[in-house]
Amino acid sequence: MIYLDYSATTPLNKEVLDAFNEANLKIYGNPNSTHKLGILAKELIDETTDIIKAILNASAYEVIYTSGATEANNLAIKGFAEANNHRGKHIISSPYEHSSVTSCLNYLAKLGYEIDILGTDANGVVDLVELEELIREDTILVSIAMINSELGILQDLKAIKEVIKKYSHVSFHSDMTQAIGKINVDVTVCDLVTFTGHKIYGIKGVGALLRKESINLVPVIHGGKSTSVFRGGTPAAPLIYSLGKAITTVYLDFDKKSKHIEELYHYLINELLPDIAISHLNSKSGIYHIVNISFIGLKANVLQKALSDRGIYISTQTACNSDSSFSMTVKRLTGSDELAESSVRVSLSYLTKKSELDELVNAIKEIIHENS
Amino acid sequence: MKIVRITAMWCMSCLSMKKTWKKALKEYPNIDIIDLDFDFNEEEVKKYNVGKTLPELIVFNDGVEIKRIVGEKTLKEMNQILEVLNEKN
Repeated sequence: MIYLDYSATTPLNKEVLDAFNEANLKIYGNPNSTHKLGILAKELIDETTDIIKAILNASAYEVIYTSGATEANNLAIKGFAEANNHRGKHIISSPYEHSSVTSCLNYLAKLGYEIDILGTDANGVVDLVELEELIREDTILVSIAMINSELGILQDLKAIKEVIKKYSHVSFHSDMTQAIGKINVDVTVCDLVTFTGHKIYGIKGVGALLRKESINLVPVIHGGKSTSVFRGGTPAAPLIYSLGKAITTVYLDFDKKSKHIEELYHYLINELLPDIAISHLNSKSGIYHIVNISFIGLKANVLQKALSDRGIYISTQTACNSDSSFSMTVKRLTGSDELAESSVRVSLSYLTKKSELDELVNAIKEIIHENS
Repeated sequence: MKIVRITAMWCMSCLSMKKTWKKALKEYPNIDIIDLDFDFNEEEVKKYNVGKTLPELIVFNDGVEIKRIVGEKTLKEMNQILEVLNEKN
């Protein structure tokens, strides 16, 4: 089996699983309980929070634990909108957001919020002049993902913040799900930051929203006492502990891991893909972890299935369309139906081996031959 | 005239078209708009043979389909399409 879909999810790190199991077996008290086992569980969460804040340089933030990035994005966008709609109902976003952001924005639009979507340059990077032009007195939030999951487009959050900081009534959220644990990030440019465990070799079902202390939210999930007034429910101490373990381990030997991925990226696009005449790289300025390629004339779902039959796993993206071979994201960036219906995403990890890329490309050559 | 407008919550193009539709359709208050969600109205949407891309606007006159407007359009493009449809029908 060759797994090359690390942007969809990552395999679980054994150390993370061991930490989770240990916490589940030994510290199973309810963190809201006032007996010793409950206090131990609460301490486990507090220690994890300190670790996450230290790693992400987020001392000025509350860590609100959620079920994952989708819930964190819901809380960041819907929760922020509801808490601040007395000031305005205008939100600005980018066209390269995850569906969990887009769905929240569509939901708010139905409730009467006005949403503006920024234009971009040819590489998908948002237009900062337009951003400044769009900001109004009733603008409350700008939400822009740091990295697009399908094309790997990297937004310059620092430059975006330079614009936003001129307007004290506007807050800044970024979905950093594809960034934290993949690249070095500076969360301090944002007021709200989303991330999740399963993209960083952690367990599915736990994520977090970083909230700058001045930012007000309305909970999306109401409940009893918890670690945060903004998210009800019994805190999942073992899952939270595992998230801390995941973020700690993912940043160990980080430069070495990043260099390896960069080498793999260059090997794939400079040495392997040129051998395939019909290959086309769809995004040339993104991060090294995500390689979006079209094999012109070969439908994405045909290629994906044929690779899957050979035990090689990559992904196609289907957001905003009804045809599993057609990527609206690629269409938006390239303007080409031909590229959009033949695009696949190969996502790389520090675990990826060069030989796996050799096998991938050989398999693609065979599949192209079989389909020609 | 009637327009069946098929969108989805996760659809960025549907979101970015909202303002354009609002502006363009303001001039045509007698056009009936029927909104269908790609996921929540799945059975109804199936009847319309939706293509590769959302949003999809299906225009009917006297019950007969006369045009499909697919994907993102500029305000100018939407105005032109609606003008032509309005003149013909």
